[in-house]
Amino acid sequence: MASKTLVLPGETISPDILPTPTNPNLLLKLGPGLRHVPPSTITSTIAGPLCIDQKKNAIWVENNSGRYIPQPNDLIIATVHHSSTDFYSCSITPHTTFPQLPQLAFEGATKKTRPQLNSGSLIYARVLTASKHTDPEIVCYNPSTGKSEGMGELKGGMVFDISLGLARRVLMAKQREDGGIAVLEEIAENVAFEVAVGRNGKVWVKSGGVKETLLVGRALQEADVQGLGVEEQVKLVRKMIRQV
Amino acid sequence: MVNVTLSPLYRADGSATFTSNGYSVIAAVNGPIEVQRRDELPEEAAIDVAIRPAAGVGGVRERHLESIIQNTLRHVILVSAHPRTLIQITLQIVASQDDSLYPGNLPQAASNVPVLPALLQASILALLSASIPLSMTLTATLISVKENGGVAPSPSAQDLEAATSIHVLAFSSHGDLLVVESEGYFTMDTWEKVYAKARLICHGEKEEDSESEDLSMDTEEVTKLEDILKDAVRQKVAAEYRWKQSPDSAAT
Amino acid sequence: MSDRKGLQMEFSYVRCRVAETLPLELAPGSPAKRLRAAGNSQSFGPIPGRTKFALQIQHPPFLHNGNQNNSIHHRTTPPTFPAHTFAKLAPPTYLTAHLTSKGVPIRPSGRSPTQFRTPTCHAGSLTHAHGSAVVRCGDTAGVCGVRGEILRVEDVADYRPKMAEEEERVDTEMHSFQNVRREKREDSEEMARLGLLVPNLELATGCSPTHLPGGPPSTLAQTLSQRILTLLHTSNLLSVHDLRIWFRPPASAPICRGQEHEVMREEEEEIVKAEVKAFWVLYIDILFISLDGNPFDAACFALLAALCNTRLPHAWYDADRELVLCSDDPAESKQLHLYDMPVPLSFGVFEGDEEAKGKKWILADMDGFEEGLCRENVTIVVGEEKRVVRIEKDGGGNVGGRDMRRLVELAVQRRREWVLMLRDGPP
Repeated sequence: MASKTLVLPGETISPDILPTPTNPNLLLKLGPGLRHVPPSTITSTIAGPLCIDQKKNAIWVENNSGRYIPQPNDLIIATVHHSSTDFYSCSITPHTTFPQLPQLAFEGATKKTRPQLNSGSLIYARVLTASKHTDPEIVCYNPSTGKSEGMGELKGGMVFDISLGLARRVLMAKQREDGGIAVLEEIAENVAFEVAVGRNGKVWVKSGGVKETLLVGRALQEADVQGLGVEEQVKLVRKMIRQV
Repeated sequence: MVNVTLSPLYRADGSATFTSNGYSVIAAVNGPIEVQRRDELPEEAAIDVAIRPAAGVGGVRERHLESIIQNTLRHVILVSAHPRTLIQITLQIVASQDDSLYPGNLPQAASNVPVLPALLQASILALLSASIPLSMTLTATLISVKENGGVAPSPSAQDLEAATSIHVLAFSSHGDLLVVESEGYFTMDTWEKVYAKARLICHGEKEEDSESEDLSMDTEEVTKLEDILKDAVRQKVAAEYRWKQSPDSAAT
Repeated sequence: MSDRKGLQMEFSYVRCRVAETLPLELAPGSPAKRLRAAGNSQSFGPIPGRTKFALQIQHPPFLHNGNQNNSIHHRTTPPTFPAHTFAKLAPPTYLTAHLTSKGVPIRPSGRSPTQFRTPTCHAGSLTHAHGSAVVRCGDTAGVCGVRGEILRVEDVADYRPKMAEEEERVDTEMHSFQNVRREKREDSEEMARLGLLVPNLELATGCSPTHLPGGPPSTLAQTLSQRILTLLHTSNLLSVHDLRIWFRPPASAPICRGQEHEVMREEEEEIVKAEVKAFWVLYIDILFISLDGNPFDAACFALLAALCNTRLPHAWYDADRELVLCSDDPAESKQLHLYDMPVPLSFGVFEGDEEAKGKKWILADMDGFEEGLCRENVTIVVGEEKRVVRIEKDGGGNVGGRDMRRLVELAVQRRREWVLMLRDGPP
């Protein structure tokens, strides 16, 4: 990735550093943390390193803190708060409006076969719609295929809080290369476990025993707080496994 | 002298401490969160500021400071980015010079101006830490005017006691004057001197075609507050991206 | 149903412009007439109550497609609204239209941007208070009552007595500027510590539509109380000297509040020890009956008018009965001395609607309608000899360091008017 300049809110992004697309028809994509002030000024709205992707013609400000704001297509871990006739009201982050989960938004769900969720159940879901003017809607299946693709109720296991940045890194396609995460792969060599990562900064872990579950969760949190690199993570995991 | 930490509290969405000149404030920001119906604004985020004094519970003094900060932050935060939500800012005064100025209870009539810059700075840092979208950042400073007409930046408790007037000025990162709280007896010539000095401390550069020559002599020793703000963010980002650098450092 | 929905959509697409203004004509009870009755001889432009504005409706494109039978369709000429409807529909546009009309910016109230409302005042109408004033400034009206209560030093928790010697030392060293300064500071600090000035501001139920009955004092009321309190202490309005009740033990007659200082001077040697036995505490209550913008300025005017009107009764300490006594003879009462006359002037900055990009107007002494549209506020308080007592500003970055001097000039101008009015009464 190109060298990063640090921006503070209200700084104007100079047109010289904007990516130059190879295809002139490709529109410039503004990611989070930037806003377009007509006619042609781009200013930052949050503090963080400015990232530029020449290939995709995109520019954004990275951030690792703050509250999770739902975005369409994000995978999240939510808790069912209460249910009404057609919807489950779920909670993604504390003290925010409840996103709606239609009771039929599960794989193969019909009026008779829909899953019964009690309040407090955990679900792994995808954000279908989210905008600042409406409450978000989440679903537990892929609307185009109708398959669950791993989403649905999470039974058993434990949830751990991690930073938003770490959640994003773990969800990357090439965890180790792009995200710099080796914890999960390293533990998997010794312990069998199941994991679901939510963009809202939550990780659900299920394993054979409590000790193993805690091992995974703790290792992730430790790597998050200390900002460990790949090799340090490997060392940490080996040390923790030896203790177990 | 100025001490800043970003995100010291881990449960709040964003937090910061700011210590300068005998005043220390810790700030926490939560938001955007659900807003009470009666405070809900259809097109923008409601901003709620709560100030807790170093001792005792908040009173009318704190309400006044809260309304100044709320008015200012409403301009700084891009409130239209999160309509129908609440951004809650809690400011706890940890230490203040009032303790040495007023032994015993702080009278209600005591000036509430000196603590304002620390409150403003702490709140803007906490907002940065919470990644709330802002249209600008701000910096604020306290200046007192001595009896001989001299301008004293970051005055001590004794300076404040002996001052003929005290001034708080805050500037945006674009160099605009955002907040003024000046009290005492002063002429406009004095005020303009204070203004130029404060602008130099906060924003670092003089206004174009300003004709104050007497300030040029002490330019070099001033670290402008905007740089302190940026340094704090740089440190935080460096800590967050340690995982990227560490393989190289481990290899060497 | 669909018709109604269409109309609701329509309003969100409203674009407005000033179409025509009716010739100058006074409507009964219109704001312009009221102002004129208040002795304002300014000539007015368009009369706000009768200005006609045309709204050009731009139909959202989807209403044209497939909605041909809709009732909106045949409304081809722009409809006109009366001014007050326009003001409710699109407040920023309404104000911008006024301020950009025909070159001369004029506000809906008929004032120019920097023109302030001239207050009217009736002092001394409350009989139970030591001083009072009823003040009206446009549609903002309030009552201020000042009442003195006696605070005995025994009731002060950690009272540090101030000896008469100290008092006289100050008198003899009057020439030393530094000492006067320090003494002043100590006095105002004592006044603050003892809490001798207790202002309280209340917004009466129904004074404005936003104030609901019941409930605790609103943030606005609390903020205003605090601002009045700090203004009382940072300006040299009152001095603690006038609020002390002395006891001088020797044969000389009990004397209060240094009013017979000259006599004292001659008898100085005989005096053993004079001590402060009590203080006057001034309870200053301001009640707003009606609120139409700029409560701080109105509150200050009410406060100054009431203090100008305040007479405290003669009080002395009776050593035998160990009591502070007050005379009920009005002839013995004494006018409260005001050392300065701090006069405020508040401004708001209006940034215009979307179409007036980049323009700004500084509006002096806003009314309630304008206050709802301005987020940036500036208040300047000036004292004697063009000295500034306070500058407060928040909410935006439009007024810079260079505008401030101009605003202070305006405040000085207002102070001249107010002082004349307070000293000589209404013309």
